[in-house]
Amino acid sequence: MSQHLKSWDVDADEDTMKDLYLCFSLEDRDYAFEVRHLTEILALPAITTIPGTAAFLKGVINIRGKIIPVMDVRLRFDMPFKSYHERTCVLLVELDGLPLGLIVDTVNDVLRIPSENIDLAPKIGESKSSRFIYATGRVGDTVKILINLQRLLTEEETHLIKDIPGN
Amino acid sequence: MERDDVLEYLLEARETLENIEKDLLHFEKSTLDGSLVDRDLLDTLFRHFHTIKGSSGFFGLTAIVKIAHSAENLLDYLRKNPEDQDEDTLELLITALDYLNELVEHEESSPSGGDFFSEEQIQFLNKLNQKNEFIRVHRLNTPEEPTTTQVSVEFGLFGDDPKTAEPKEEFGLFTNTPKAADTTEFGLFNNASIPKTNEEFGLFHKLDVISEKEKIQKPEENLKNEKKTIIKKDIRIDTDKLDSLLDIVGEIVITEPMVTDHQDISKLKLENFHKTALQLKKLIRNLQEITLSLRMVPIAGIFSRMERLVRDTAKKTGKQVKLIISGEDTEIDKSIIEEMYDPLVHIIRNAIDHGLETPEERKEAGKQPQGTIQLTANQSGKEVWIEVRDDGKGLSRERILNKAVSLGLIVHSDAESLEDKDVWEFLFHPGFSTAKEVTDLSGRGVGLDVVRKNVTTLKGFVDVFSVFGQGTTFLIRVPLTLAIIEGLVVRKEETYFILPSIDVKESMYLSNEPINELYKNNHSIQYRTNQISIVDINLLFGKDSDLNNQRTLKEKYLIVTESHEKQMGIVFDEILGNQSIVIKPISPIFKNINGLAGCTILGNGHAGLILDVRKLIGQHLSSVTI
Repeated sequence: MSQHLKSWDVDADEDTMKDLYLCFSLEDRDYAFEVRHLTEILALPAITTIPGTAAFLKGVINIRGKIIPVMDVRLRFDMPFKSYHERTCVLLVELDGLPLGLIVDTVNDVLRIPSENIDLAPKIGESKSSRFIYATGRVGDTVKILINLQRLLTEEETHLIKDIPGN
Repeated sequence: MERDDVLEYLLEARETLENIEKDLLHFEKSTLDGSLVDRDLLDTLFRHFHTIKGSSGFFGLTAIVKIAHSAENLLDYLRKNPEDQDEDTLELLITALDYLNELVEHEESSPSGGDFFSEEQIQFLNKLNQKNEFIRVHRLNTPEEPTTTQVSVEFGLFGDDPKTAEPKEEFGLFTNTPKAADTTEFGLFNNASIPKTNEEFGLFHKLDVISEKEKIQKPEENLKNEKKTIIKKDIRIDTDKLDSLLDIVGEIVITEPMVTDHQDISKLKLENFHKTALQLKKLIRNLQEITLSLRMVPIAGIFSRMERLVRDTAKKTGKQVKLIISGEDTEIDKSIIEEMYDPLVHIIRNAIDHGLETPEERKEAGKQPQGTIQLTANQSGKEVWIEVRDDGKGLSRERILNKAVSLGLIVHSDAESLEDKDVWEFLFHPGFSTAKEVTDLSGRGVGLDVVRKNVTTLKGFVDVFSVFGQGTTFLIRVPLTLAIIEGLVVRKEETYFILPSIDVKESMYLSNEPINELYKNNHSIQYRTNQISIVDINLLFGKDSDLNNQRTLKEKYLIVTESHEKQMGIVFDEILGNQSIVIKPISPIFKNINGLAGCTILGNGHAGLILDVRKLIGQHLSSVTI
């Protein structure tokens, strides 16, 4: 990892955001998204749940007077829910001008993944979480799963309330 | 010329045009009965058109200059020959105003160099010039005083050949050098009417004395002078700035209890601190009130626009209508005022078109031939009540019921037992129109349902009252401001909710009350003399209800909410109290949420959800029967 950080330092004056990815983990998998979307990283504040919405939209949080919706990325990826603890993080991102908090297990670091190390994801069938993945990035011996943040929001059908009682 | 400057000017021009409209309608009223023309009013109108002409010329808006100039000539003529005032002249002036409005609007949306953009406008200008020409000829044939001859020379310049004269050529008559057209025009114009203008307009009087070079500067000075007088009265502020100020004050209001009641100090005895904190509380309250009042404007602006509407609608329908406006200085949030325009237009049009009778019908009914519409605003607590009352024929219960039956909204047998106010409710049903035929004015499917929808979006209400034969009253109630509401803060499990205070009828502590389960998820409880539906908040948002497991309620709070005289009880765990709530929009990410009016941040730092009680009651009661 250190070698990547070094290369980042060298051309820090240039387009500093370019090729930089924020890496986080869910279970034992490493994910990453472009750092330019990231506004800040926070410890998880109290969440006000919003009734009647999709389960992965956990509710809203108050960040210095701004009310920001939060999404549990695990639930979005159809992984089992894991209760929050003091290391649970919120990644504050901004997508098309809309602020959104992403709840993830652990945040790792910021890495430079040059475009030649990125391979578009093969079609891995139509499984639900694969829709959010657009590529993989090679970092040394490891592979990061690159996710498309916009997709997290734009898949309309998952916003529908699933559990309306049959009345 | 900077585009911003032009836009700023156009805003000013709009104000002047609004004044012109007001004065023209006043003028019409004062001359309708054949009384003498009000000289002062003519002078004011003349001055307004002159201002528009002068300033527009500076910004190169030639079309506006031409129409304003021609209208000004007509007015100038009227000032000298008030006996020639007739309906035709007035109509021309009103149409001129419409075209000026059209031109200003066009310039705002699509800057096009300021010239005419439609054939009708050019034709109208020709018509106006012809009128000027006509009265000049008419005047020439009668003995005249020397001053009027001067005027006719001026008209002659304009109207030598109105049919063929292109607008540009017409102005060519004024000057040899097209570049200086505007300034020369001023000079010429003022020459023609030196004695008059000098007396009346302090602002313009130097025009004749100053040299050519100074003349180019003149309009700018002119504008500056005008601006100065405006600044003394009020100042134009970017609403974004105002909104962020409001946001920050909202933050302060929220943060204040977070600081002064901070848990770290809550157990300490700090008498002096509490005194100071109280002082701060008062100051913050003042700050909040003043900030909110910044957005408040008198409702007069929108009311006066109704004058024109009433006039035009009355003309079209051939009815005689008198509009009585009162309470126009009632202040209301600017954003609400803008949203009130369409509903008011609709209601007033309806009142004239369907409500008022024709003069003949009115005479038969033993009424004055002239119908009256009263438009009233007044403040009632944290609401503004706007009332439109007509003295027309009133609503026909029978016709409304017939229509309701034919639309399948009600069974015939039930119709008779309905109370009047329930019958009037049908008017707000989409697609409900009692108009016998589609007219030019209404009955095109846009009905009172849209009015109600607009007003409901503002968290307001529309109600209708009517006595057959005596008239109909529409009452619109809207909150003073949208940014802050009074709300009851409650908690259910980990989530805080806010119920707007106006929707809350009563809150009560339940110790061991029995509840009745009618069938699954449909519970009721005895409240005073009624059985009312009770629910818990999860059920309202599409989840299963807790009440299934608890046939009796213990240590819970029941909030009885009311909307449209329908009551529903909602069960919560705790009541935290009443509070001023700064409303913040809820993120559009939550797409299918119905029943939330927004979010807020509470004193304890939690985000709270503001319930849209009206919608919740409507949704719930339409899905169950009780």
